[in-house]
Amino acid sequence: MMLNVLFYIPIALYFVAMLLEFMGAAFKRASLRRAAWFILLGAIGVHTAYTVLRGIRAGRIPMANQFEFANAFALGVAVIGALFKLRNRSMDWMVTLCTPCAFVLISYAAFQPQEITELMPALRSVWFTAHIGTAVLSYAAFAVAACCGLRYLLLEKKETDAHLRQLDNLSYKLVCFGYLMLTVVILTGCVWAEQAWSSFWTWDPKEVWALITWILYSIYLHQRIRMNWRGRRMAFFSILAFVFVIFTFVGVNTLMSGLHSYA
Amino acid sequence: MKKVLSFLRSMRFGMVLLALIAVLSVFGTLIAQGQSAAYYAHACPGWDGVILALGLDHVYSTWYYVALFAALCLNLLLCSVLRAGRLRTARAGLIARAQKAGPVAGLEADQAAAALKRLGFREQDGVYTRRMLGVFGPLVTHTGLLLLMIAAACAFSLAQKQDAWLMVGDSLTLADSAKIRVESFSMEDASGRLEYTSVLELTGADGTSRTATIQVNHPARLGAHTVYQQSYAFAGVLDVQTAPDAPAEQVVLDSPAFISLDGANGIQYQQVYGDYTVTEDGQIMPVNTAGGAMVHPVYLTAVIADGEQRLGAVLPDETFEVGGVYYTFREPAAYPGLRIKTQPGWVLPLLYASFVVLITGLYLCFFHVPAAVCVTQDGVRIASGKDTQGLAESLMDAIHDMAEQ
Repeated sequence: MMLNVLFYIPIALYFVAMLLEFMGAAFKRASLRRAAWFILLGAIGVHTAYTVLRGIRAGRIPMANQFEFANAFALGVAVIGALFKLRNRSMDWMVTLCTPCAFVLISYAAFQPQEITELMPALRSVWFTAHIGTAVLSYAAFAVAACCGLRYLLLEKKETDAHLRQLDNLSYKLVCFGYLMLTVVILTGCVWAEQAWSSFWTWDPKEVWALITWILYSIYLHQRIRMNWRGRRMAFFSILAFVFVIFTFVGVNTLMSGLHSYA
Repeated sequence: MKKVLSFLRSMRFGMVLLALIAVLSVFGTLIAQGQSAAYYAHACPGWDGVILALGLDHVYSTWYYVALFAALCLNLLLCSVLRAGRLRTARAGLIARAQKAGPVAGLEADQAAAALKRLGFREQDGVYTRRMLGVFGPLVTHTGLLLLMIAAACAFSLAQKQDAWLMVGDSLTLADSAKIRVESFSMEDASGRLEYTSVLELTGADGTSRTATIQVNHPARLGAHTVYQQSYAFAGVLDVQTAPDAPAEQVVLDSPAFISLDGANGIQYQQVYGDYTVTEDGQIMPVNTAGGAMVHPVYLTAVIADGEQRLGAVLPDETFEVGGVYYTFREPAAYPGLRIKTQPGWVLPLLYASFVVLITGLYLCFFHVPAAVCVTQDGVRIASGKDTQGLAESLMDAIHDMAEQ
């Protein structure tokens, strides 16, 4: 019961931080933005505590179902945003981007069944943590990259070139990190599937959509590195690719059945 | 010929192939795979002809899908050969790019030299370089991907799979005379947690024998074979006695069978169900359960006596007499479904090696980006494998930090 109550505190905090951040940005009030920043830090603290406690109670990494993954995904987005802001104090806009994103994700989690269930035998593997943990990191990095892309498109005509270049570079770096993690997700999944299902690749919808996402980001990276695509096109591309990430996460589980149906 | 070769190894061709693979894969997830023609006629009326004609019912094994992967392999191979040829000059090329670049405004040579050392650059003849191993990144990545696709193709084509349902005590002899015998099977561990465990006696082709315990995620190796805990099922258990106090002979039934001593009167076993409902007139109606769990097991049987057949449901431990023989169905017994995969021993190590190469390559590409900086009295010139502007800014920041200290 206590644990369930604890889950709703970060939702409220993310919401308040988001409102204050938007108001601070709209009315150019530094005090509101500072308050939003501290509330976001508080939300991350409570959110982390909830996730750790849930993990202790479940006796495993709390990323085994749609609720737990969405919860960790939201935390990942908030932490990435906070880390960038901590590293570079001038990145106030990172709070503007990540707080709503974390709020939407944790709100989605709130609509999922929250009870702690025992892992089914197929999920009891040493590869579980590596596979799901890297998936959270990958998705969170892609989410923040897409937010940077969105900001780029929204402020393209209003912001300075330096800021737009910073957004563009940051989005690219996050995609690089997310892509590496997504590759680890797919490869650890292959090793695990070989042990559990006797085949490292089964053309399960989740696997195929992860491959499609990987292909899309491969194209993104090649276009950026070799064809020198920058700015608007890359921003649009990162948002489009993230739509595929979300479909792989939510759509495949909701609309298609397969070996990953428990996730 | 040169033009064709140039096209085949081009990035544009590779990107088109990747996009086509992605699009076809989408079809593979939207259209149910491997179903009958009648299924598609019912599920996609009007489109079933197109689906079957284009092979969209088995898209991942169609010739054109396989051909796309083959073409991608060719593209990667040619691209990698080209890259390997250029590697010798890659370092010199990056330095030459730096020498040709315009000087970065606001960077003094003396300050830059100190800052570059602080940023981990090594100096040689006025040229500062860092992370030059990174020039191998794209080649290592593409080689890893190529290896992966070759290993995957080998794994798909060379692996042979065989499923076997073995009752406890039963054994299976494989083609190379290796043998698998099921000693026990359980569905829960000591704490009562769901865990499918088979204890097997594995006898190799050379006659050596050992006991192995397999569970989901924990297969056992037997020479070129790997034995997986794949599934489980329930068999009916029937005690047969010639008199109420006579010793019982136990029969385990994993398929429909007629049990009789005289060949005419006896029990026709059909199936054991996991649960049942009771109708208003008191009839027991067997029902299937999710995952085949035995919640309230019930047997569907037919009693055959004096040429008459009477179909009915029988609960465990219920005894009835037919033709002077006593039959008692007991609690059903679980038995394992094993999967035996046979493939050459080098396939998996090759596959896993390709994973390591791919990840190493990506790490080098993204986090070990090479950079060269030429520092002369007339300016500082920068070339980076990824973000020249970003490196210039880092250099500025380092100079700024040093000035503050």
